[in-house]
Amino acid sequence: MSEIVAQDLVRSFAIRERSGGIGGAIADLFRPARGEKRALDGVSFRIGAGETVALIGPNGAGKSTTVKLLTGILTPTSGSVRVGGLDPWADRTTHVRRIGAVFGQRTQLWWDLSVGEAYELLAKMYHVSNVDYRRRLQNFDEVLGVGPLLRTPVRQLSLGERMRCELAAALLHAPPLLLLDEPTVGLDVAVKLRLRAFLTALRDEGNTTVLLTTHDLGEVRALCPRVLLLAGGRLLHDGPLDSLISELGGRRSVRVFLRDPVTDRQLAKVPGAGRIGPTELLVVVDGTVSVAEQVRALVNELDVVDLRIEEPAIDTLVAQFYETPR
Amino acid sequence: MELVALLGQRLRTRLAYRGDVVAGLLSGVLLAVVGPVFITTVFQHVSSLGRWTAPEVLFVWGFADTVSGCFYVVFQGLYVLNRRYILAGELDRLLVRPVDPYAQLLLDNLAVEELPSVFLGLVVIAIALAWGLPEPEPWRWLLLPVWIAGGLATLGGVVTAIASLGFHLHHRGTAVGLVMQLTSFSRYPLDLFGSPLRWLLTAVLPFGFAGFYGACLFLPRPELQAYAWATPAVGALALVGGYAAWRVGLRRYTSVGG
Repeated sequence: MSEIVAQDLVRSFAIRERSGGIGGAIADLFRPARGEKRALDGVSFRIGAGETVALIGPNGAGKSTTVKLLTGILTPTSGSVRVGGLDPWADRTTHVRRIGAVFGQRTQLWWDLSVGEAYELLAKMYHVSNVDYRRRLQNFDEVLGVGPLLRTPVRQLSLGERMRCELAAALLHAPPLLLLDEPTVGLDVAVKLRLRAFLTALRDEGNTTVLLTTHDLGEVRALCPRVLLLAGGRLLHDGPLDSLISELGGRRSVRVFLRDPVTDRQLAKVPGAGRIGPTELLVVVDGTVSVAEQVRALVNELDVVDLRIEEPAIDTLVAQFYETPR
Repeated sequence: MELVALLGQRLRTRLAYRGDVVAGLLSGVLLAVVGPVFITTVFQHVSSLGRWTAPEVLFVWGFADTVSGCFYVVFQGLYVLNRRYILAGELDRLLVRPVDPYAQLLLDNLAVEELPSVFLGLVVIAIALAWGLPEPEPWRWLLLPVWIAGGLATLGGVVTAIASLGFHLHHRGTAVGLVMQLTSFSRYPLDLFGSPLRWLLTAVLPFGFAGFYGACLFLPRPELQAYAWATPAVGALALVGGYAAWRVGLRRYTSVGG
């Protein structure tokens, strides 16, 4: 059963150029918008109930636009989106009862209220029973540590405290779908790990579908078996992170430490090897020569002290991939 | 249910800023007093304005002030819709909650500090009666709340439509304040003004029904009763139209980057 079905989603925005000065402002009133920018350009995907999926891509790839279409904040220019069988925009009030949303950049809570007051208000808005409310709050206190913050006004929370509170707020009504738009942006490692642990537990329970956008590939590797890569408004990859890496031409390499400095003649005999320092080599495993041949050459020619296998730097690969036009 | 919870929250947070509320109440009282003082001063020098007597003018003023007072309490959100909600993207927050976003906009910005203006409007109505306004038939008084609501709906609907232009224009300014200036005219008998203005306030932006025409139901003016009776219908129509314009605009909402 698919929780999310997106079909040929297109969303374009009018581009307006502003002219300076008062005269320009008046002229702008009568000037139509100049062209349009396609934030999403024909994107289709399905996400099954209970899946945890990462949506990654560079800035301006269309990640936030996708999340806003799924929450019902925006309407698609063409194509269709269904969440739990509902049209997010047309069936808004029913739809939003089924989702929880966290936007890392802005708060969903009320600045003027304390965290506890905000939760109570949300519980009323979402018809959460007293029993459920207390049980969930206790759970959030245990795993997110929101208990001590309940009396603090939202405006006084630090970013880390606020994001913990936001996540709890989004889950107070136990929605079957959780949408997270850059939930960990700007957070320190300790808070990131805490949120990650919480989301891991949520994933393993399997009752909540989670879609999160992020720039943190460590987070993707830890949390999401499936990755959607967006760039320039198009879906470029849909599958596990590892298949994305090999698709991007990611190569593993072996860092080799030697007892004695390596000579050019020795180096030439090891396929794929490059010198990094006098006693340090990098051997790239790229499939053009067999690994066996590379290893044999290494052992025969050189006095190896230590070996280290290195994973590709995904961040760099993805960045390179974005910049390659296709 | 949700609306009651939101209302309670709004009242609590407003009252938390006691200074704001007190200052707002005081300035509200001052502003509301200026009008009636001006009218009574004028009528110390002249016996009538056109064919209108002092109590009649005062009654029209009181009715219009009650209506616009209610408007400032209920529809304050329209003043900040463009800048805060559309351009700065605050609307996102309202759109992901299970309560109608329009209702949330109004409730989030409910202005209790404008209440004195409502109260003073009613006092001015009482003064007009004490000053010798011919008493309308008693059953007409029963209709007063309905006619105030009709006027309120007229103002609210029209201004909602104007504010919703922000969804299409993407300009920093909003015409809401400017348009509301026109209600200064509908606080007086409209036949005091030239016909273009009268036409504007009757057929284009029907603010006349939020003041003068609405008040006529309670004045001994048979020739204006047709307009007076139209007030609730005009209100309902304006509100439906305004909400439709809001929905059309909301569909065009583009949020902000990110």
